[in-house]
Amino acid sequence: MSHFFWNGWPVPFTPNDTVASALFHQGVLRFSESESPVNNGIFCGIGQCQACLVQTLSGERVEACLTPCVENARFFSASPSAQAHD
Amino acid sequence: MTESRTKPVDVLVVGAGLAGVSAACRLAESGLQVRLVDQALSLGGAVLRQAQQGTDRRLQGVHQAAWQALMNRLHQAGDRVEVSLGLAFSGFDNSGAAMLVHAQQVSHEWLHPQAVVLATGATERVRPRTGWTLPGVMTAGALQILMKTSLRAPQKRVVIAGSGPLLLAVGAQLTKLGQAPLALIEESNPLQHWMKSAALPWAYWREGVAYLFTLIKAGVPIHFGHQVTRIAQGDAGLKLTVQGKSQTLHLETDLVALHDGIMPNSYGMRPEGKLIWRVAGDCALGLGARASAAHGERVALDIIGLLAPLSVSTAATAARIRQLDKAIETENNAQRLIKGIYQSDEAAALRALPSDTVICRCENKTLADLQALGPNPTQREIRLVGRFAMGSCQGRFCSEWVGALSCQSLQPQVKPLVGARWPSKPISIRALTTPSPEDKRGQ
Repeated sequence: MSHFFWNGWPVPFTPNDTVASALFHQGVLRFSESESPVNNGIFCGIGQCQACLVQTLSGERVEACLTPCVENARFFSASPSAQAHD
Repeated sequence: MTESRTKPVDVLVVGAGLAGVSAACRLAESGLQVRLVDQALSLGGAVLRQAQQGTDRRLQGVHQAAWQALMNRLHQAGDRVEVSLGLAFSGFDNSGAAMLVHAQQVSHEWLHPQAVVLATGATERVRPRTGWTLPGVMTAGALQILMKTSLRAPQKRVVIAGSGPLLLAVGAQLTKLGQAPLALIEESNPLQHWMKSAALPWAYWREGVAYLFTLIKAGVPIHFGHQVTRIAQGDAGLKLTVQGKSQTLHLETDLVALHDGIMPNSYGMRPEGKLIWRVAGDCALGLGARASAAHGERVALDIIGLLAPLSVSTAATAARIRQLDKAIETENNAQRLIKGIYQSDEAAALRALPSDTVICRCENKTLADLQALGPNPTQREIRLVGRFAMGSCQGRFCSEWVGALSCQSLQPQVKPLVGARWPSKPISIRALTTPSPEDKRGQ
């Protein structure tokens, strides 16, 4: 099975998964690192609420529910400390 | 799908659900060149979202046949409809040009169509509740989309709560995928008002009864007249407080799917200048899937009448328009009947909210923060001082409740709080400053 990396951890995905659904099926419900209730996981699921923002390796904040899974791609919790993983 | 364009685009259609695809097909069939964009990675919108590979019959709903017919027409249209997925519509500039942003925030492009169809569907209403910002709490629609795109049910305990027919649909889908929900909690008492629905078209009855039957057969407890008033993080999941008229239930679950109806998703989308534009489907009507295809075609005929009047026969078009309007009116009546069945006292529920309830999810603003603005705050105070409806969702998920909670009557008011400003969603600086290699404008 293909994998991408979430905060350094491999996450398996199927060809149908978005980054959000792959994380979801892996049991990752909280996408943010902090305990803040803001933007911390899937809420609307269709690109309207910005709650599932994750950070790409190049620093863009993207909605996980609209982001395709790419083999070996790296995604991080969208928090200021996310860059520390690099 | 073609990678680069040669013909200028006559009409931009935003949203590739039933309404958008229906509009795109009809426009293309009259000879117009169409660009159909959607921010999602697959066609179908919220109702008919397709998996990228394969299908699961258990997830196919009642609108599958209509969708398949549209897909055939889209195929027939060939390169007269250029489909771009993963491309988000951001808004119009003052010349009427439409900005499209790659959903991965890497680049943007501009389009100068003569006309635009906005078919961006609905936003789910989710009334604030204590704990509704916890991870694991999502909209019922989100859970449905997760199942439709990944063709998998969550291997978790799910409670579905709120109000409306979608609860039954999502519950039945989970059940069919072998993951029956722990409970379904419906705020209203639809069975008490079922006689009001006697005039509902048979198709609605059949759909609702089939869902109910699936749930009952699987032994899913359905609590009518109950609402989830509190969600708290426990050690082994989410702890729910479920309030009925005469009893309080306590449930423990992994996921909560909330849904309190739908409203149009039309934020930041008003074009300026002389651009011809129409709003189609749930984005305009909120009438659901059955009306959306008809309305998409209706709107397309409007535009064809303006851009390519010679391509259609006036008499035949007039007859078709009457037919479509009648179909839309039928759905309108059906939705009115459904609203009559699903009656709940939202004002009372809002009145009962504890003051520490988060209202604005984006900026973590509570009811107490709203009340601190004093009685009857102006919209300016609500936005600029209170910072409500100013977050990254641009008020989609709070403005209705902020409007209601900041006036005595608790009547939802969404329009005044959110303007028609663009962009319709956040854009990264990189996307804003990087033209797409596909964008031919500068050449």
